[in-house]
Amino acid sequence: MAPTKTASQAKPRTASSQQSPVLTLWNAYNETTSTRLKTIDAFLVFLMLSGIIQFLYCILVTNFPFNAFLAGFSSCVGQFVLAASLRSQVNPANKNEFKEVSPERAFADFALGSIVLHFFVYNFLG
Amino acid sequence: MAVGIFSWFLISLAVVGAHAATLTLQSPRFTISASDASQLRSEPLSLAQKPSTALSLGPSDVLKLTFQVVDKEGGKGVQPHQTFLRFYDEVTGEEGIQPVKVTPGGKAKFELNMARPPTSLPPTTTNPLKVSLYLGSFVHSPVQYELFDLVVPPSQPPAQHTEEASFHLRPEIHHTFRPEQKLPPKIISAFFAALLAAPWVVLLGLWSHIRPQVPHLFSPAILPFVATLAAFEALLVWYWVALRLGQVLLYASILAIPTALAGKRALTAVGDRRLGKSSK
Amino acid sequence: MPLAYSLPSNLSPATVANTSSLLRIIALSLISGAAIASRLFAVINFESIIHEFDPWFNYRATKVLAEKGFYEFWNWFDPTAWYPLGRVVGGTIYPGLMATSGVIYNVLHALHLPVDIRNICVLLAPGFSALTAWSTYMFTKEMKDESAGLLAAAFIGIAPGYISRSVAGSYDNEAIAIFLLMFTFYCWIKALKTGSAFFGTLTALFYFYMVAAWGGYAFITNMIPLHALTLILMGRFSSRLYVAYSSWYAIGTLSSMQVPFVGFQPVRTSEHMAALGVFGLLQIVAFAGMVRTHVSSKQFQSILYSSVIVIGLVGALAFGGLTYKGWIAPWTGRFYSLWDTGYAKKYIPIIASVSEHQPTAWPSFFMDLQFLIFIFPAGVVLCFRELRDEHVFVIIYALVASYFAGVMVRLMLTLTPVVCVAAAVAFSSLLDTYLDPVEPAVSEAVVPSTEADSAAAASPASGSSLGTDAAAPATGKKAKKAAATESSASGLASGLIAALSPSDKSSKPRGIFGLDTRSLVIFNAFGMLLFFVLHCTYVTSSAYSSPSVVLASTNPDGSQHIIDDFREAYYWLRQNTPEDAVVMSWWDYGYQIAGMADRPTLVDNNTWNNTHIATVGKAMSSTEEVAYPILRKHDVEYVLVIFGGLIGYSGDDINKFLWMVRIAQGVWPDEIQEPNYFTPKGEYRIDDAAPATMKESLMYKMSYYRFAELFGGQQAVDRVRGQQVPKTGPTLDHLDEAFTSENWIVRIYQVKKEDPLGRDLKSANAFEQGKKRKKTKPLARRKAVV
Repeated sequence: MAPTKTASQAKPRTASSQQSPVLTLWNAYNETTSTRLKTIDAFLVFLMLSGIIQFLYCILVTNFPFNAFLAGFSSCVGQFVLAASLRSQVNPANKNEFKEVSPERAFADFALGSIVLHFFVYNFLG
Repeated sequence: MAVGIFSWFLISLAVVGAHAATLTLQSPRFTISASDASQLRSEPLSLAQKPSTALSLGPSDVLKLTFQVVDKEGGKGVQPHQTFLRFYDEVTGEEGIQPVKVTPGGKAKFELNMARPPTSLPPTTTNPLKVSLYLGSFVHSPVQYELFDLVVPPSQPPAQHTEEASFHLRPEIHHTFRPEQKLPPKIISAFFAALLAAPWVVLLGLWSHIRPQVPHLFSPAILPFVATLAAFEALLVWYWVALRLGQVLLYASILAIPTALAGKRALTAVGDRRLGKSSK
Repeated sequence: MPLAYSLPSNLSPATVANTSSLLRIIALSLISGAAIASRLFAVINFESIIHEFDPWFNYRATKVLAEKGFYEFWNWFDPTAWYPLGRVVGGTIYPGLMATSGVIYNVLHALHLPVDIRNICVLLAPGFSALTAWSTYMFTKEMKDESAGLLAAAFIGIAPGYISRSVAGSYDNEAIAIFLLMFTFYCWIKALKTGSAFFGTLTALFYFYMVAAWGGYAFITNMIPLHALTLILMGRFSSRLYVAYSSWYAIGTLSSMQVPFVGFQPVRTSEHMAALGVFGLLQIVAFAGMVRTHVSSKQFQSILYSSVIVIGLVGALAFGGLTYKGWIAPWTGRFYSLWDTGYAKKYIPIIASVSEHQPTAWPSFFMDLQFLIFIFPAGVVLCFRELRDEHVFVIIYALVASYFAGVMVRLMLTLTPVVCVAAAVAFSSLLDTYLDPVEPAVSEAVVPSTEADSAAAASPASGSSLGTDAAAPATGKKAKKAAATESSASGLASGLIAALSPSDKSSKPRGIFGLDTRSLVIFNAFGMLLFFVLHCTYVTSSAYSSPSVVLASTNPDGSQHIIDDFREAYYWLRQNTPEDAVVMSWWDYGYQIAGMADRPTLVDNNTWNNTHIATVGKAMSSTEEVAYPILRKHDVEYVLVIFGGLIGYSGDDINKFLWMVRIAQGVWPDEIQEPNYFTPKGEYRIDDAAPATMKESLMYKMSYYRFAELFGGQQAVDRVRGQQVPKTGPTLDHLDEAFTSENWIVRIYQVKKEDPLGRDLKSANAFEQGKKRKKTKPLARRKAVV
């Protein structure tokens, strides 16, 4: 999660010298991505923001119920990677890579993974 | 120390044994002389009263004590089987017991040479030592005479006994615990909690912008699956609130069966629709 | 296509498939049966009993779990261990093993099968070995094919390297951990192959089980990231890798923190940081990959360069800073001892004192793995041939595990599975090559086209190499013979070389001709298998099936004689001492005393408090006068020593004595010095030449107390050390001999209370014996001022 954050930070820094790559990236993204993937991407952004806020709270204020922080933070991270996995599995561009995983199968995997993740999150929440 | 206890023990035995006859001392006398044999002080002792000034010995002086033990009634010399001198420092509690040799005629002579003090002499300070005489006999009742006070040159303080510490109360142990971790002020927590609503706004905003389509959400094939998934989440929340681990595992395993069935049906339906719709 | 021998041609492919799957199932169940059965030697030769040391604690904990339920077990505080400190058991163990047997126990009882908890514990390891065989089959199937899988299952089922830790009664964490290890790896490979989050989740779940069961989980924690990192560096990053790794790491790490003993370690200690780092790296790479699909490659490169540099700097700084600030714990001692084999001996004698932590002796590789150990490199080399993602995994695993197995005896256990897998791959390649009936088509220049037909027609009819040869024309015959002798002469090696260099430029046909070569190689191969089975059976029955609680020896007439001193002594303690009598012994026997005698102990095999152990070491290695206050202060009522000098039991306390000295020296370097226990020549002796420190030590005295009397005036001999024991044995003033077992293996001494008359025990003892006290002048308490 955190490295991804730095990645997105690094992007604007380079963008100051050359404006075009980020713009082209944004345009290309808007044009080529289907609604379905955009929905997941919005969800990913949401999870990333939640995670960052929790992380800031831990760094700036306190980490006192450390298990609660870990549970909250890792639920964000876990859900993020599961959603990202779902995204790459349903992405038609990756069809060759995931021969055995149909989009429906991917969703079932996602649901199972989320339930298991949530079980541990609640168990850890205290 | 052990010797002292031992002698007390015997004396108390003797008390039990003897009744009538008592012992007394005849012509007790002390002499203090310097190392060159010049007499410094020489006085007879009274059994009823100690000498008015304490006897004082220099580092090389010699104290001589002579007396005869006699039967009080007959006046005959008696050899008690136990004769001890006790040196006792009232302030420090140090004491020493010195046996005294008595002839069969009852005559006794004791010499205390400060140049070579006997091992029984206890460690001393400037306080006077109380010197008393203990007599024990099988046929006489035991007696104790306070003879005099004695001041000897101070010695080094006695060595600490190795187990001295275990005869005193130990200082109380104060456990130091890790300080209780503090929760931050409510306001800050509340602020961050409110801040966590922000991603929701972003999410809903983005979704409303994208307008994802879930056309078949309420179709009979899919609804049970969504419902069972929701039930799972509800179960987990319930676990957090009230349930125990064993219960939640039991319920989850029961709930897993309809979920799996519903999921299979729902996803097959979706898959069919996708494939039937033509490959996008 | 010419065939070396005929194949029935009237079978439909469906029948073949069905039959082979049926055969596979039968083979697997037979392998499971063999795996279980070969582990039952211990029960048959001895009885159904818990073995060794640690299993006794696991057994005791399981009994608590079965009797009082899970929550009681979780909160169990054991006041009798580590007297007077006690031990929080629930938070200091890996509960997976106990939970497993607890579940089995409850299920069986729910089915009204009243099985004793002890039998479940005894038979758990063999049962799980069958599952290990199955999971190894699945794992190897992913590597090559089913036949290799079956071979691997058979190998792991009977390989002594694994049996050594999983015989019936060896109720230890490793019993289930190897199954979990293999199954986690299988799930990981499967997740990586299919790119399914389902298998990723499954990997995480079994990883969780593994974390709950064995401290060796760190091996998985580092193996999987290492594999992922290698794949990234090889340029093999794929979305499948992302899905598999991310879902494993996210769920697995969170779940591993649920185990109380592990706690926050996964985010705090250096051992777990590799996994976190690779996780971060994967996110970056995946993000970069996504960006790449949307922009042109030149722009992408400029973005990539700057971000890689920034991220690398930030990551390194963060890691260094966090370690410096103490947020991330530095590496632990056990970890250092993996890299520097001398480390433990220098700094942590308590780790080095465990025989399992010693470096492995070379013969034990052969003893534990027999011919697998030299087939194993061939299997690894074969993995390079295909080098799919999963083969990379096996190669890494093989390298890492080989190193670790060389460092520590006990890590032989993690090496065994990969040896079995690699050997099975190699062996089944060999069998595939030599069983394949297809003969290479001989090039046209040498053999006319009709020849091939005639050979094919002839071979079904004759079915022997002679017939084939006879039917072939003379020219073909010569060429074939030359090829056959060449290949059979160099045997296995040339087969491998041929397999490795398929792109040979020469036009000469390569392959195996005729049945003679085939039968020779295959006969040889089956001979190796046969000897492997014989070796495994022999080693298992003779070396690895001893419970070490019960010993066996042979009488002069060849019949077996059971030496049961340990239980004799432990039951004596149980029957004859008050329930709260504290027993002091060296830590090896702590769990056994707690388990069998049910008495409080000072130290046990959970070696968490070095000072406490050193205290016991000090008491054992110093004189009676020094030891007595230590004993009294710890309320010790009985002292138990193990002495093998009478019957030659070499694992006794005198042989472990130097470790006690070393550990005590670590804490009290002024009072205990190791060199004092050696003769001036540097020998370790217990006879007349033994140094005074040795002779005066409590351990020496307790071991040899009244030993010489046993020989009735003859020269007493210690059979373990092979040295003569002094005729006048040591005397004990502060301890009384309370019990000595039949063969003198266990000796128990009672600690005397203080003398009621206030004498010190030495003079009281002398008085009792009617000895006249030596007259000494009492010391003057008065000291003159100088």
